[in-house]
Order: sequence, then C-alpha cells, then structure tokens
Amino acid sequence: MRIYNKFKAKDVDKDAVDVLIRAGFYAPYGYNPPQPWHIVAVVSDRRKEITDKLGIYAPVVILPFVVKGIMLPNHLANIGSASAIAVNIAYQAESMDLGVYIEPNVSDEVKYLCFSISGLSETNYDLPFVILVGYPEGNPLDLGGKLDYVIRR
Amino acid sequence: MEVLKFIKNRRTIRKYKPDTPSDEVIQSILRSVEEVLKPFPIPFKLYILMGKAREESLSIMRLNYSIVKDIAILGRIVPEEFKEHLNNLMREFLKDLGGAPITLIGLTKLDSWDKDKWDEETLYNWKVAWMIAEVIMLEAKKNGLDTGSFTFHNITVEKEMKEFLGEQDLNIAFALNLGYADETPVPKEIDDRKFTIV
Repeated sequence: MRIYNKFKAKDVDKDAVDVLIRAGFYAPYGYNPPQPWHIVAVVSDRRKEITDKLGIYAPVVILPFVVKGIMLPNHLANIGSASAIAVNIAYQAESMDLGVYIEPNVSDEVKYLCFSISGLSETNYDLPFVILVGYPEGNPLDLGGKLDYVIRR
Repeated sequence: MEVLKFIKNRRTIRKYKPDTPSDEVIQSILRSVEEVLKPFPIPFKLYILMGKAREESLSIMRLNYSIVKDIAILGRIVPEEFKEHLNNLMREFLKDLGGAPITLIGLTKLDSWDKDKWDEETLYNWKVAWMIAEVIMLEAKKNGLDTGSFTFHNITVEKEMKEFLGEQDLNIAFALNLGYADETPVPKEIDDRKFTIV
C-alpha cells in the first residue's frame, strides 16, 4: 500500500469512485449488517475547501464517517473498521492506477468542514480519516518508518 | 485475482488446516507491513508466533474473555441454520484458537481501556495499527491464505501476554490468526446504502 501527497490535475471517473467506495464497504466488522459507517465521496468543487486545508490538491475526497460508540471499546472498534475502509480503498485505487493520501490526524477545523459538507451530525458520527484520491504524481510518501518484528518458533 | 474480489472474499476464519505458510509468503506480508509504516512511522512491533511458541502462548490467549464474547456476538447475528455449525466451531476454536499455524500479535503505544477517551497521539497509533492489521489480512488473502482477528481488551490477559513476549512499553493492538482455511464461512452481507456523493 503506497501513500502519495501529490496528484495530477486529472479527474477521476464517477464509476471508479463507485468501485472505490464499494471496496471500502467490504471492510471487516463483527456485527454485520448494518455496518456502523457512512461513506461520503466529495467530487464537487466543495472538495477544494477540504484539500486546501490539507494543502494537497486531489480530485476526489472520501470521508469514512463511523458511528460514535457509546463506550470507548465500541468506539475504537468502529475506528478500527475505518482503518480497514481506508486500506481497502487504497488497495482498490492502486489496482486502477490511482493513488491515495490518507490523513489519520483530522483537525477539528477540517472535521467541522467535512460535517458541514456531508450534512451528517457530529453528535452521531466521528470522522477518523480523510482520504484523498487521484492519479499520483511522484514517489510514494516515505517518512522512514521501519518494521520491528520478531519470529518465534 | 482482481483486487475487489479478494477484498470481498476476505472473511474471518476460525478453523485452520495445520499446513504452515512458507517463509516467502511471511516475508511478503512483512514487507507490506513496512510499506504502511513508511508514511506512518508509529512505535510498532509485530510478533510472529509459530510452532512451540504459539502453543505456549495458547494457555494465555484462550483465557481471553473477549474472544468468547466476540464469538458469542457472532452467535447472535448468524442465521438460524448456521447456529449449530457456529456452536461447534466455538467449542473447537477455544481449544486451540482455530489451530492456526501462525498467530501475529501487533503492538503499539496505547492508552488505558478504562478511560472515557484517548488522546490524539494514542488514537493515531490505534488507527495505523489497524491499517496494518487490514494490510496483513489482504496480503494474506492475496497469497491464498486466510486470517481471523481476536482482541485483547482484558487487562490481565494483556499483562500475561506481554510478559510472555517480554514487552514492557507497547500495548497489544491486535492479534490475528494466519493460515489456510479449513472451513467455509457464511456469506458476507453488506449494507452499502449509507453512501453519498457530494
């Protein structure tokens, strides 16, 4: 899974956006169905309000809203599902020559904007990620993270 | 296999064949995990338990109440015709946690489960750790393997497991079985109506 922070000024076909969202919906969740999420894809000019705040141009913004869990463990499970939604979308995008930028640290300002664009209520939902999609330009983002692992037999 | 197909076909597996995946496949999965950490460098450590090491960890892991709870929840949501199969599966699963040849334990820096809310840094670690879990699940599926997660929201079990692993600073974010499926899970249903294009 590769993450990009630069995209070409080229539109993404609506059918492609549909496929990406569909991939997101197949994220694992223990209580099927209904899954506790609402996925919003912003393809109109309003997406620029979000991308400007993140400082990255992208033709599509995907917002995986999750229902707020009453207790912390429930809420964290829903957030974990949002992680899986983001990964599924990234895998699907890569197979379509698209790339994604995933922002797991969504500021209150960006959240407020996304709730306002989506029309969803902040009382009921949380927004753990903002996902930008487009045709990637340049190399994948590499901030130097390494895997520390131990194999025990 | 086309990507959407293996995303759709990825299911939680509770019963595994004893066949051990090749080192080559394990290394391929590890490389994919590192691809996640490159743009998201969080404190993270992955333990791959196989053979005797997995057997030794079973006595701790199968005490985990959350596993029983997890399966009990599944028991409430599956269709009536699958319930007997599921009950048998539960009993079998608890004996050796599905008999998977490999269990992967992912650790990162987390906060206490007793709190009402976690701070942003801890939430960030949690989000990335579960991105890693999903990448493992998808890469496994891509390589003809299957997975099944179980959780560690039990303080005593987590403490014993960390002692077993020799870990002090990091907390368990996920545990995943990895191997070849020896069951055909019930078809996955999704509700994709909650989808808006703006």
